[in-house]
Amino acid sequence: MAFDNDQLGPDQKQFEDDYLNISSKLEAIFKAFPDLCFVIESDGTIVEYRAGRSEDLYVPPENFLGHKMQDVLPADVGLEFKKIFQIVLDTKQMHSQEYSLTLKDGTKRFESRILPIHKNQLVIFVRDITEQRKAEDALREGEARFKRLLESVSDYVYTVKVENGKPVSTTHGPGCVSVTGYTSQEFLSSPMLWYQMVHPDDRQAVLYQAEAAIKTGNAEALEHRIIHKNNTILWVRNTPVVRKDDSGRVIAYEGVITNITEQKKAEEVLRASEEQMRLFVLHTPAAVAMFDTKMRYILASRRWSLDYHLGNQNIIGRSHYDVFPEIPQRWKDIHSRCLAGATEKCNEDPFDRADGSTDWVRWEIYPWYLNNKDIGGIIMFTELITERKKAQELAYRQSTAMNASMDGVAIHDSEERFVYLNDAHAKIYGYDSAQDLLGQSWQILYDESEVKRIKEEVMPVFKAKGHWKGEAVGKRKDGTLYPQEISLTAIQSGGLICVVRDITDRKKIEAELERYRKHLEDLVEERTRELRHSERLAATGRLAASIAHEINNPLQGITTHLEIIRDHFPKNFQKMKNYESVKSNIEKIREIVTKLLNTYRGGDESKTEVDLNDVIEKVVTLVEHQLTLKGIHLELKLMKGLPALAGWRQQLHQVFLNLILNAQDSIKPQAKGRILVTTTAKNDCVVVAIADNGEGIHKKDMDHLFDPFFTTKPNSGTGLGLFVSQGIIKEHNGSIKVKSEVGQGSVFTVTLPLKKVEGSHGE
Amino acid sequence: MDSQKGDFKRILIADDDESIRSGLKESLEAKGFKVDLASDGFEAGVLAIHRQPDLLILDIKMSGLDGFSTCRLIKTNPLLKHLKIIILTGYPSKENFDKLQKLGADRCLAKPVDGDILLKEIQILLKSKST
Repeated sequence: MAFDNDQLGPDQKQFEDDYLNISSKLEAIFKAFPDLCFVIESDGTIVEYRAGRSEDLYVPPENFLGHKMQDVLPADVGLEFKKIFQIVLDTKQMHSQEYSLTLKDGTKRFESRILPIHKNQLVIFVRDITEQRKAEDALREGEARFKRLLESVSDYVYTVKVENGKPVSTTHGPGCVSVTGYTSQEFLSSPMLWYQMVHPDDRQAVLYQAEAAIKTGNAEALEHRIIHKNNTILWVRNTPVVRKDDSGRVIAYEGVITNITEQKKAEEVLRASEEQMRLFVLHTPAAVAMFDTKMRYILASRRWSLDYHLGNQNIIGRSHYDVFPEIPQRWKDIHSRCLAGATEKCNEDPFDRADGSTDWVRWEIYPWYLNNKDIGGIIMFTELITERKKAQELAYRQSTAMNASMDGVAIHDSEERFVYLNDAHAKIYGYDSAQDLLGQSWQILYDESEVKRIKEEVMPVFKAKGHWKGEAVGKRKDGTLYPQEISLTAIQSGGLICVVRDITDRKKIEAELERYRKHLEDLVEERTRELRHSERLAATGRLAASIAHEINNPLQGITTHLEIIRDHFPKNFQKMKNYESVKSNIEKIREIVTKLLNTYRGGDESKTEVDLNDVIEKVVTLVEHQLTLKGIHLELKLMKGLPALAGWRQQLHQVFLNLILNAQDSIKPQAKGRILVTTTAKNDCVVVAIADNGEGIHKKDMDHLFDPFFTTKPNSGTGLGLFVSQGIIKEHNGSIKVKSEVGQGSVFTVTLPLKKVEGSHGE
Repeated sequence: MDSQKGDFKRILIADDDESIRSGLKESLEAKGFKVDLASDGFEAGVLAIHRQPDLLILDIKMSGLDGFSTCRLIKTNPLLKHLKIIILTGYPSKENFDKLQKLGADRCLAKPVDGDILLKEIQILLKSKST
């Protein structure tokens, strides 16, 4: 029980009087008093004490008797006491003081009362009020809680009394005011208030429920709206419980009205948000699907069906793995992990489809929770990036191709500086890598005059047309110049794309081709001339053959008739010499004709090993005398050990005789003539050169030199010498070439191959 | 039909050149041969059958029936194949000679031939003549 000053006051006064007056009485009371009691001097020194019922003292008595109160107690408490002692001494009035002390079994609360007594002494009563204060606190706390409870209560109980199957009265419990705004009293004084309170749209349902409760004794809980006194609409759950008498008649029913407005609101919000989410998922531009723990579809966006070509088939409720049998184990493992709570994603993942194609997918998978606790399944967000991947791959291939390109590819910005270039572009200009040129101007890649030309001739055309293609002279890092082919294409940003190709090799090849073409032309011209010549040769050969025949016939006549005449010569006929001359001339004609024919069809001689040195020496013995007479010096430089070749000795003899006689004829009388004959072996050939310092051959005669019946010696030549010689040399697969300078002389070079030619000629 | 009797050998000369025909005729008759003349192959064939010569001197290039055809016709005719043939041509190619020898020609000579050489060849052929 709490002390009450008014109740305690008279007792205390009495005691004080007793104490002041009767010390023995004081002593007795003092002993019987339950409180701890000290007597102190005015300076606080404890002179006497009584433990009372206190079992537990802050300090033992031996430690405080004779000591000052303020020194024994903790400083703050002691200081308070010191102040109070002074006040009590000054006012001679009792003071009370509460304080706490920490004892061995916890902090205790004490109340002290300080009274002045005689001789400036004070008496202090101390009582442990710890439990009392605790109870007081608890009560205070309980009251507050109850108040809060009352404020927060959303249920109340009502009772409907039923008589003869009809409700006769209703009572509404104390909570009704917090739910409905109306007090119990208001419900009592207005019997139809409970019905009026119901939202008009729900009144029918409420009546049905009441009827059901009364008639059947069974009533389902009903959720309906009520109109609060403040006109707001609330949702309540009305749960009736029917009470029956012993005979089973319904005598009343009681119901609990629960305010479920917040819950309803939350439900509505939830429902709305669920619907919203469903719609969102359905219509989201992303491919989204929601699965339960068994990987059955709960929801899938239209995009999902579209991306994975599911058409209009209903996949809800079906297993993901039935819909996509091609799903790899790898993915199934991911699903399992996510169903266990993991969140996984991948930016690029190939999905090998059943039809053999590959889709590239970016995906994210999250678990979803049923009630913030249990995993209800997973949600997959996927994005089909096949096209993007293809584009990337294409771009990658293109950029790889560009880097691998032999052509230099570069992009210049509008400031004419490199913003991109492939390595080939750098290498074409002799730089190690593209990095060396990035940010540089193209102008460092050309020498001054070319920069000028490009600026003045190329750029105006390029700017007008948006592109330009042509050749230029590039400058490498080491300063060397090289031909290049450039193609410029404008880009929208104001820069340009430049493709450069080093055409040094092409130029070289072009030059080579040009040279070769010219050479070929020369060759064709030469061959044509030769062909024309050999055609003429063949024609004239045939002509020669027929001429030979025409000559041989009369020659036969001449011979025969001459012989007849001879047979009629008398013995020792004086003119026999003349006959012999005719005979020998006939023989000469026959020889010429035979040669002519042989040129065309070859002679009857067979091929043998021929030493050309030997042939030439034999020819020389024939002509030596004539040359000496003409004052011509003949010199022979015959190679020792000249290899022998396979040929027709007599014919070769004829060739060199012709050539030496021609050389002789080209030298004018009285001139210091010289003829040099040399033989050498070279490249499997034997080469014989007959050089003279004669008059030389005029250019106009050169082409006809080897034609039959062509002669520069109208009086002595037959015009068959070189024609026949060339025929013979050709039979040997060799050649005769002439070099001549008018006034200087001529060199006839005969080249004969050593390689043996099989077979005989003339066929 | 009836061949020429006596020791004289009969020679037929076929050549389109009159000068050669007359010259050879005079020359050979002087050596004691009976000589008939034909100016082409056809004529030579007719005379060969009628006069039954021992030897034919045949030119190649003649108008009408040429030397090749004449040679072939005579050498393939059972009545005439024994007739010796000397080819005498102004076009003495090896090719022609090989061809004529295949056709049965006994000897090939090039124009102009020396009278003595021709006589020698004739004598050799007539000696080897078999009946």
